[in-house]
Amino acid sequence: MSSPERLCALTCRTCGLVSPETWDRAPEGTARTLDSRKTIRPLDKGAVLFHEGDGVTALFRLLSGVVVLRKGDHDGNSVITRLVTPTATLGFRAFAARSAHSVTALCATDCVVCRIPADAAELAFCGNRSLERAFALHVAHELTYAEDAVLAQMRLSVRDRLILLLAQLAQGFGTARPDGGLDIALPILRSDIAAMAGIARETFSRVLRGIEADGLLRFEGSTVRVPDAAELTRRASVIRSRS
Amino acid sequence: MAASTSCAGRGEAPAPHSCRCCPIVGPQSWTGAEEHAAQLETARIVHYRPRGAWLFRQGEPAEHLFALIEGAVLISRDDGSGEPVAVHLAVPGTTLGFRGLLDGGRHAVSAQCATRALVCSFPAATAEGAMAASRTLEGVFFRHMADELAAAQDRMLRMATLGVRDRLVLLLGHLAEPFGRPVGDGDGLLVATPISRRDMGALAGMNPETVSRCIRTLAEDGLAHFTRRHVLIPSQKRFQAELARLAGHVS
Repeated sequence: MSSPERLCALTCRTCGLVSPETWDRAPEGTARTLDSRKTIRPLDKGAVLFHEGDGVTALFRLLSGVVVLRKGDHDGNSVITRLVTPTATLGFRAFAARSAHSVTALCATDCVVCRIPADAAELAFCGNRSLERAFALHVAHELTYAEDAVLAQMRLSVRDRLILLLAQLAQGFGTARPDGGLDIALPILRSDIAAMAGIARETFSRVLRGIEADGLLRFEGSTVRVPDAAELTRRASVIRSRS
Repeated sequence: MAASTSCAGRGEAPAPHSCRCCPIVGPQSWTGAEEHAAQLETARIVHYRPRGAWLFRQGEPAEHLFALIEGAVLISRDDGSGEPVAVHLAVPGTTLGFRGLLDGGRHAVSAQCATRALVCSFPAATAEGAMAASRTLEGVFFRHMADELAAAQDRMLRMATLGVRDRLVLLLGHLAEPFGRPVGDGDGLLVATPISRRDMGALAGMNPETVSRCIRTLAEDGLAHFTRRHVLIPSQKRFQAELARLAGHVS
């Protein structure tokens, strides 16, 4: 993983979102102008990129860390619709729809984020069509992810959904131990995990007890201890192959 | 692209076959792309497709894009066992197929006419030329995909916060406007559902067995009575009150 200092030194030509050739084809000065307007900086865990209902003032690209997208209702209930990992972009859905943000984007860990003011993005997109398409592609991926999540809820058991989600969290937040085990530092609350897996809280506790009784993993506060990381991966693979 | 009956506000005679008058993309989309509009008018095909006709199937190359003028199109995904599962119901005024063009050139979903549908189809390569000339035109396709994502996120929230009965009521509310007609003394509504119960269940995020249970519950509540092709809502007032209650829960 690159250091925050190195990420903060990236330019539009070197960030990798689009190829340098697309900048060569863009009107002269397009990349330079965007470079002068974008800002790359580290953000602490808990920082908010935008709130649900906010107008679009900027687009973002996540360079390191994890951002959660959370959608809420009028009663204060909310669900995490996605865990965003590097090098995804954020904010383009509302930008393209000319609407307010439909989710809140919150740093689940310390992050490094590139922020592009909306007016600067508009100008850059006029000069570099590939850049706008790269942002749009992430919307397409997010749509596929949302559909996958809904389909998984319909065709998988609650136990399998929870195992799959924990295996996914293990990939992003797991630290391997010398004994073949793994510790997952959870970036979100248990209630969020339950909501993401589409499980009622009461059911979550019951299913979790079953998984713990099988020895697959164990919750300790905000850490999940996995005695055998390979076994968790294997179980997740079996579930994916069945679904 | 899509046919329209007039160029509103321009005082011109109706131009039913002009892309430049297409209400789905809007006349402003063609500024700078007039030449491409003419090419699309030559290349496109506008005609009625029968119910059940496929516009495209998941995995096929995205060689054409579509604009839905009338009717409804069901968007579905393979559930892994070869069975399509409904993920979205497209209504008139939307474009289809762009997501596949954007993401690797193959369709990630299937699109099948849920009703007889008037559809404009046009070669993706010709549309790409027009989009290269007009960012506004490309923005229309971006916007429709963005709207679909917002709908998918709403669905995720509903699945996490609402019970199955309430989710089916909300789906009925969405179907009632385009497919319902007043019956009886005017307070009743007969909804000619364009999709099967299985698809309704999928759109509401539940399996077929749960749909049957919910249908019985709604009948017992006197809120909606299902037959094979129709749903009778005996009292729109009561139904609207139920929707209003649920609207307080979902954004």
